[in-house]
Amino acid sequence: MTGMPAGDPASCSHMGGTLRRRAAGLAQAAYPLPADSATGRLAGAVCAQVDRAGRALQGYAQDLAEALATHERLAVRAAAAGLDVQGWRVVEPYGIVTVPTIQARREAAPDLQAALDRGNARLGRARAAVTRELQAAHAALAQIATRAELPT
Amino acid sequence: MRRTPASRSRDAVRLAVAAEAREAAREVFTLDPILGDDSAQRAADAFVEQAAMSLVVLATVAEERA
Repeated sequence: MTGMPAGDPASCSHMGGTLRRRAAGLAQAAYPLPADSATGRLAGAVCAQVDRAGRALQGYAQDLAEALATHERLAVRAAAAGLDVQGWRVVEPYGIVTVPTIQARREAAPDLQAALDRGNARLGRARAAVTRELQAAHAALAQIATRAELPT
Repeated sequence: MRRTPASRSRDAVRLAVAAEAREAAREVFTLDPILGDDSAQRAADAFVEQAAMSLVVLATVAEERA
């Protein structure tokens, strides 16, 4: 097996957890302030976006871990059928093989490739979703910070 | 103008919020996730910078109002 999908679920989960913990701590510190006060409003808005990004990253970490596990499981199945997995593609290794081996490979390859395609598509959707959420939280935070810095 | 116990208490809360926000900004800035995709990675890196800056803005506003 070569070309494991890139990404580190632990680092994404760590970031997600840290963001959510910090958002919760900040919300707790600001809780006694009136919600309509300048600091209370600002703290609430920042906490919501930080927590949003944290939740998205935790979800992505889980999806990424599942994708890596699926990839590994399918690579083991491929190896048992005499095939190799490169990235998300099933390939036939080089070398001289017998006719029964060729037949076994050709029978196993379509199912394996279909399963790899599904895993790759799921991971693609997860990546698109986390990107969207991070970009939206970024834009919202930029707007919040700009408004807060304007003289009132 | 004399400050009431209630306003002193709110000031203490604002200072606590500012301290928490600054601490959060420092920690957020150290985060370095590996998402495994260029577009997602750029979004995460940009978010980290923006989140840290927004937390510093929050801390500054809270301190100014205290």
